[in-house]
Amino acid sequence: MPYYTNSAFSPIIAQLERVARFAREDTPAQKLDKLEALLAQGTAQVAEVAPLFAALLSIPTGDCYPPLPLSPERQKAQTIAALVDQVVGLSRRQPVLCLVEDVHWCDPTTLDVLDQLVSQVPELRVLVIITYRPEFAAAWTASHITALTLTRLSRAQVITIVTQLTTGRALPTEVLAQILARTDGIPLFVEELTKAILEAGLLREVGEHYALTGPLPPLAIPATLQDSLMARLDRLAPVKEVAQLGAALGREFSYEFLAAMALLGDQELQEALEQLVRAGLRTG
Amino acid sequence: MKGVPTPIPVYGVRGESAAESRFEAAIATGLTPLVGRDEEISLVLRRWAQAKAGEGQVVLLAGEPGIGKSRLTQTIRERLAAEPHLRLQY
Repeated sequence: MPYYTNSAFSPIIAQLERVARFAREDTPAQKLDKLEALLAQGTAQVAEVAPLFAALLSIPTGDCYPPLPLSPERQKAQTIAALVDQVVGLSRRQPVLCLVEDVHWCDPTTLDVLDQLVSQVPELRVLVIITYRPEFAAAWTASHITALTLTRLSRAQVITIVTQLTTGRALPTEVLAQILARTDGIPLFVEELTKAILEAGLLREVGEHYALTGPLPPLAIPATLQDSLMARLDRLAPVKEVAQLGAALGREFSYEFLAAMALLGDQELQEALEQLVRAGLRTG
Repeated sequence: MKGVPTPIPVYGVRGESAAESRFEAAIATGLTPLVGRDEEISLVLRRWAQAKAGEGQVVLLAGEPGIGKSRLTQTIRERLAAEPHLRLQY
């Protein structure tokens, strides 16, 4: 579930559009064909459920199907049942792994679908994995439901991650101590902070370990991943200016235009762009 | 040479990637192996074995941001990649 949403069924709509392989230029008739082909994998009664799914995906059905003579409540209830029936039908053909991620961002209607799916799962060849942050109050309990909470990593586990990132080279003791203190056993922070330190030019390789090039400044964990991205860009200055300028110019920009705007020499600009590509922040 | 058109390289954001999840988009630049989640992985794999045998299962995976929820589900997907099954991802 890649983004926040509060409109009904929206992660489900996004999944259906993706697996049906809708293209932007598809006509409604082409979308309807793709939808029917998709539904046929999970049900023998395509014609019965296609109008519900077409309405869910906002596909005009034209003369193919009569309008749905349903109240909004009935239509919602039948849509939820049809969605769960699809999973049931699919699981008769092969085992199904159903991943529902970040449900703390989920709309209430999608949670209704999940409720019904979870209650039907014991009879099915289905494993549902539902992920969420601790503040989400999951109300699901039953003998077929296992609740796991991922805990913070131990000191030894943090050091294992750091060592993977330094490809085995030992960090100076005070740098490792700062990483341990600031990251609190959160693996993503361990990775981000270690990468930021390796990019910051604070260290030089000496044989099998790293040594500090100067006094160690206080290291900080970025509050969010967005901050973390900017922190990595800061290490790449003046590359950061180029990235910000590129972002301001829009989704596509020419080298010449960027050169005219950036007030950098040609060689500096080339180097900046190459660094952004290496850092994974620009697609080339 | 004046007046002779030269190719202009065009840089830009290529648009949203086809990555299915936020996590896949974030890790496109390289990934270290999962550390310290062996017990969780084997538990989820046991639940998968039960589910395949017709005893459907649900695993609830809670954790704070950055703790490795997406990373764990990614690992499960990789471990099941060789098995015939259908994956539905939301």
